[in-house]
Amino acid sequence: MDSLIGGPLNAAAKANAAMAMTQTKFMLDTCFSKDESGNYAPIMIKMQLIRGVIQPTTEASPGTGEANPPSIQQVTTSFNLPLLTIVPLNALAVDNVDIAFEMEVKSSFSEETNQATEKNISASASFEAKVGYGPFSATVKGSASYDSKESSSQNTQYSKSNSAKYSVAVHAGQLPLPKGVNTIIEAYAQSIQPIELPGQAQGGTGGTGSTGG
Amino acid sequence: MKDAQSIPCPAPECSGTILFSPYELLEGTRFACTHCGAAIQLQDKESTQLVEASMNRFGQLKDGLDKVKKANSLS
Repeated sequence: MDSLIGGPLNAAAKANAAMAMTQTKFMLDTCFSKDESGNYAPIMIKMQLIRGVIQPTTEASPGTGEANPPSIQQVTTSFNLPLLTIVPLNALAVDNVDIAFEMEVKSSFSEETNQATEKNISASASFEAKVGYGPFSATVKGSASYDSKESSSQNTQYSKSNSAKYSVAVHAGQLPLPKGVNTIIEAYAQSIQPIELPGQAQGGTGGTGSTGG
Repeated sequence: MKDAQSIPCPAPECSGTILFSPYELLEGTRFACTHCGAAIQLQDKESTQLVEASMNRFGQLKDGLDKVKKANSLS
């Protein structure tokens, strides 16, 4: 049972381990650039963020005397995104392992006993007697024999049969990305949130700015 | 959506998530945040080429692994 169920699961686990290595190698080769000192830096791609911004009512222009109504303007902002967050690395994992099989276990037990008994009895006897009476005499001769044969035979047969049917279904769900890879992806994904720098127009160093996101 | 990915919405003060498909992103599709409506798309040709090359490599790797999975009866 162990090898029947464990075998395919082990194969899946080994395949996933190999794929985790492949994922990591692919990630480092494709999504990172390596400098001369051996440090990896993420390859960034340029993206646009398009967002509607409401322009409030503006003051009436002197010529027309009419106020401009509020409007929505499309504002486009550029931002850099690590290439790593674009590539669906988790699609490489083994997502399902389904093992289904039916097995039948049969055991049988059989016992046979043979017992045979044979008994032979034989006996024999002879006798001779003489009887005389005056001029007469008589001789009596006799013999007797006894022969007996008795045989018995016993044959016992006992058989027992057990049968069981098993239906086995093993399901392994999707394995997540290795934790280290996930951490890297999350760190880079979170870093795309913009940060508002403190204003320098007033020349102050005091922090009135706030961090976004 | 094929091989959907997600990033946190880069719009300030938005905690939404933008779901996107890298393949559709390459075709010029915009993907919007379900929370604030801000949309993302690839900006320039250089970035598009970079993503395209990466996705091609990824596709080759995936095909190779799919064959291994199939050979080992894994899905």
